Amino acid sequence: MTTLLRITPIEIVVVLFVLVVAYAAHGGARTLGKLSEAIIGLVVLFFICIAFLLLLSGSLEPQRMLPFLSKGIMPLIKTSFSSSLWVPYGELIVFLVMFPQMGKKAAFRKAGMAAILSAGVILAFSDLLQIWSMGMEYEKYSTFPLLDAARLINISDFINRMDALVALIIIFGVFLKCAIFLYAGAKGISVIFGKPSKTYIYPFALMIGALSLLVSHNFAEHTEEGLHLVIQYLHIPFQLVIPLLTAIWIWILSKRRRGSSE
Amino acid sequence: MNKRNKLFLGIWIAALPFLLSGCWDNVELNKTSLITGAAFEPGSNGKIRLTIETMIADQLEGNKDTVPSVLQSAEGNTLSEILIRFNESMDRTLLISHVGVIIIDERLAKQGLLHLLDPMQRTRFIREDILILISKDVPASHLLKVLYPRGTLTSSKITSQVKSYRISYGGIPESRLFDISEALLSEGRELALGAISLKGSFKDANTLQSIKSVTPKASIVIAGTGVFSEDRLLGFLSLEDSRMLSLARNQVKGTTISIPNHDNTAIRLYHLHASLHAEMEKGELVMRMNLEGDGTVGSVDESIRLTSIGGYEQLERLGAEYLEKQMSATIKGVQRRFGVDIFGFGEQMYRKQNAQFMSISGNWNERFARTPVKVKAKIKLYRSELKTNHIRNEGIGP
Amino acid sequence: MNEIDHALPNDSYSSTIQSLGHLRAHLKLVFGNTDDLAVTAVRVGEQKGLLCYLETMTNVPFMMDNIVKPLSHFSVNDPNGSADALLEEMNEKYYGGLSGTYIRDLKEFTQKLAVGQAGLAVEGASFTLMLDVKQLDVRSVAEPTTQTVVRGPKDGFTESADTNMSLIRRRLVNEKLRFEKYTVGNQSQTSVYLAYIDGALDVELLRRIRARLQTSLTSSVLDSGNIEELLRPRELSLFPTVYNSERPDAVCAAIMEAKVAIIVNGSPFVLVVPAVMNDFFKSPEDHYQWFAFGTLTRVLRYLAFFFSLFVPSLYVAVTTFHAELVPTVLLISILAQREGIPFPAVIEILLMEITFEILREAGTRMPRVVGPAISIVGALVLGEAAVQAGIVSNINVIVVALTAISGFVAPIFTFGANVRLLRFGFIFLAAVLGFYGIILGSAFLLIHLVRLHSYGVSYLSPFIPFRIRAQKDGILIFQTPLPNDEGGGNGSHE
Repeated sequence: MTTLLRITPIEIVVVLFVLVVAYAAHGGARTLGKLSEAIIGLVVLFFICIAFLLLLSGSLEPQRMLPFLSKGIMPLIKTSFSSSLWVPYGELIVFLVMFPQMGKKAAFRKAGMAAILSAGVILAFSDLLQIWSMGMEYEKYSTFPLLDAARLINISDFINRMDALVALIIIFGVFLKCAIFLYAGAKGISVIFGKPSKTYIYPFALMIGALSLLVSHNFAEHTEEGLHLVIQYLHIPFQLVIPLLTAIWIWILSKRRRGSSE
Repeated sequence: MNKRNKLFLGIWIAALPFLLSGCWDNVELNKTSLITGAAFEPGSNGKIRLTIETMIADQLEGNKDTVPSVLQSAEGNTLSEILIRFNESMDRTLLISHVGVIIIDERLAKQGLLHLLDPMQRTRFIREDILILISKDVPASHLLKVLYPRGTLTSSKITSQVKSYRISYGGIPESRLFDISEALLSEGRELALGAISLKGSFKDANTLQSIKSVTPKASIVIAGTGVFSEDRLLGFLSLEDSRMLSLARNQVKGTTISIPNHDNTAIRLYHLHASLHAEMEKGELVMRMNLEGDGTVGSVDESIRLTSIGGYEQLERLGAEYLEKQMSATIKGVQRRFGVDIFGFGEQMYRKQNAQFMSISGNWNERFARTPVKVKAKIKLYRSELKTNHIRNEGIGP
Repeated sequence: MNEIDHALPNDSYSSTIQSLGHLRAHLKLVFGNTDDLAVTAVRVGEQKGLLCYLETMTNVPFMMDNIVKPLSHFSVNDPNGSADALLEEMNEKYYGGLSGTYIRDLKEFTQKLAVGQAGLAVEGASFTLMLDVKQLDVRSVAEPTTQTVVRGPKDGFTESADTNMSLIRRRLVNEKLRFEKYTVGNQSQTSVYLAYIDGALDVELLRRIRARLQTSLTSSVLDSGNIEELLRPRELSLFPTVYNSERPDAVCAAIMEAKVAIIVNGSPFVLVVPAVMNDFFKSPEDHYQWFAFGTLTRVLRYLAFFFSLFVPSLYVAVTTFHAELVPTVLLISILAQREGIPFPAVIEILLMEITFEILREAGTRMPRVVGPAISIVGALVLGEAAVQAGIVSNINVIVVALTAISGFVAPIFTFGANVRLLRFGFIFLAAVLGFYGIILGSAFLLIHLVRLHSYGVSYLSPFIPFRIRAQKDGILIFQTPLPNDEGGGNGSHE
């Protein structure tokens, strides 16, 4: 948020944000579910607005998408395995924490598939919008490509400063993600220590806020850590290795139990 | 209220006093002054001299007896460094987020734009659709000093002028900050920016006296297009060439062509489209341009009979030939004088025939300069406005 | 009541009718010297009797005609029978239509007197006869003052619960419609009626409402607002979860949707539970007009809600923090108007908002005769003079006026009141943190609304959770489909 507010001490920004996230996570899985319905409605609405306004201001040129796959499909596959798979798709593992509250297996599977597919569509759509309005080189050049794309909207010189829409999308999206992770973390801790998960939410939130200030000093450090180091040292073990081992262990145990009962 | 609720309430209340400790980022509007225009030119000792035009708000709204803007200059090395020095002479905090036009002197442009550009592209406050123009034949700051009879700010006059020119004549190519970035980032296309100049006597142009007469003493005119290689200015194109360039880049909103050798024949074109093609055929580069347009008849002379299909076809043919000739002349002129591809043939080839382009991308501009371009044009005429043939033609009447 | 109970030794004192003198003494004890208690001596057959009633609660002429006069015609069948038999005979012969009851307990006797019944006691009888001759003047059924419609029924509830119940029953001709009576309030003993349609209702809902009413500790219930206090959820809620209406058609529509209506005697505002946010944006008129018009009006109401919540804070945020988000032409205009204004934008807005609140409150409380003065003063003060004096800018007045008017669009007044408070919170947030503050505030509000529920129903239904079928009365109103069969032969009249 320092893009929007520069002089305000970042601690204030972080503390207030984290408190509101805690208020959301405090409500439990049901609140998170309903909240995500609201937020997805808002986000999709804003995306469509941005797309529509860009179209009206004549900024979209599908030609900018070319050349398509000029270096072949290998770079695509390489990138998806090294980064896109883990962030954001690998993070879906967090929903295993809420698995018992999610209803029947069939419904969970259907909802999960629908969620992944639609998220992919939305992300692809957003990327497409950015390329069509700015071009691939410009997209790499800018820190927040969606923001730059929205800045290009200019309809008869009146509807032209639409940065706020993108700020809303980003803030609400990040907010929901934080709330879900916070809730999952608190629930996990409550399994170990026994107290209900609600008691851990506010303390965790404040701790996360404080740590976030200590962890990254600048944007490059944030990207470097977030997109490279975290993937190697945190995501692959926690999203792939440990769940896989746990699944195999459970499978062996269930086989053994079935064997002994027969 | 149980202990847990008290704790939560306590946390929320403890957070609230933070809000009371101050409003850090806010700036009251009536303590600010908007920068609406800027001009860069070479200063003394190798520095850059920035002249800014700031707006005086209530003068614009209310009484018209005073000037609408105030200009100030300062010198320094980069935009960010210079902007902070203006308060040596100006009274309020300056907001740059509403600047409309930035004029760069041709001498500075010849040395290269990049060192001016980076702060403008980076900051959130300068929007990507501000106009950036090159000043031709006069120092850039002179252009901000010329008042216009409507009493509006000079910078809004310039932006409005450029827009209207594009609708009436076909204009200069889009010269926004975004276009500069795009051109610099793209492979196979060079930058072309609009140019403005001064007509008339500059001496009293910045006083109210000059606009209190029917013929203003000085006025800002659009002077063509500046052609760049990377970020260095090479030279200028004439207004006619600028129109053709805009046409090639699909940026013309409407124009009128007048056919030579037929006095008084003119066609008003509304929808114009150019498609560029560049590919390698048998190891040789081949470039083509197809122009299409439709419009209505502006004026005719007696030799063209608009009551018959043949007349329309003749007019369409004449128009198409004229366009082809003009476009070829412009392209040849650019190839000969500047040797850079400002039309975007390289860009098209990069997009559509990527592999072929990458093999010659190293010296694209030289190859472009050597290869002739085939231009084909096609015009469709729909209507002839309110009248049919020329009034002198026989056959009108019973 | 409590005093008197403590003054008497409880169980040793007999609480049943002993003799007329005993009755008189008891009445004197309970009712004191109150002027409106009439205790008249009558003759029932050959025995002495007492007729007791509260003049202010009973229909005295009616009583004279129908109770006292027959006493003179009374000729006893069996002159030697007991006083009890005498009373019974009297009741059966002459008081058939007056739904008389026999009361032995003294406490109940005085309670029934207080409600407006007349008591006939005979010397030597072990019980008294209570007759219902209640007459209370009520306001006649008139147009509701708060929720007006252009097209639709124009009768409104009154302060008498009986009239209200009749207004509901005549619209909802359904045998399954039930009215359940409760008495709430230690001192005021107000009658509260639950109205619902048996069968379609969620039993759990009823149980919870009953529990709240029965375990309440309030001493006085003077308006349905007091009952509304009892019914609110346990967690913090910034928005009302109980709907109130003065219109019978709105309440009947709610009852038909399997909700429970609560009629409080003494209040023309009938409560409906459960209530979600969408209910506060509905007006019965939406369904009486063409469906597209109804949809448009609903959209307008939501828009007005957002305006009244966000416009002042957006103004503050944009003019102080984010001048780069306004189109240049508009900004120049705002700048020109704000030249020379001595206050920062926040103070300006707060000043105008508070002034407007004062005006509004004064307008509501002021006696009608002084009415026109306020509108003149208000217009002059808020509008012309302040701008001319250079204290506030024109754009500020426009912002405040727009906000204020939008605040009144909500059909239910209570809802508008909550929004007003939230608006101040947003202005404050915007003043400190700009646009980010507004985003944080609206995130907080959104989470609060998502967490809020009214007796189990999510407060943001039908939007969240999103069910297509339930949208037919959300923002969009779907057209009710016509039946397929048109009835044969109607089209061919040529």
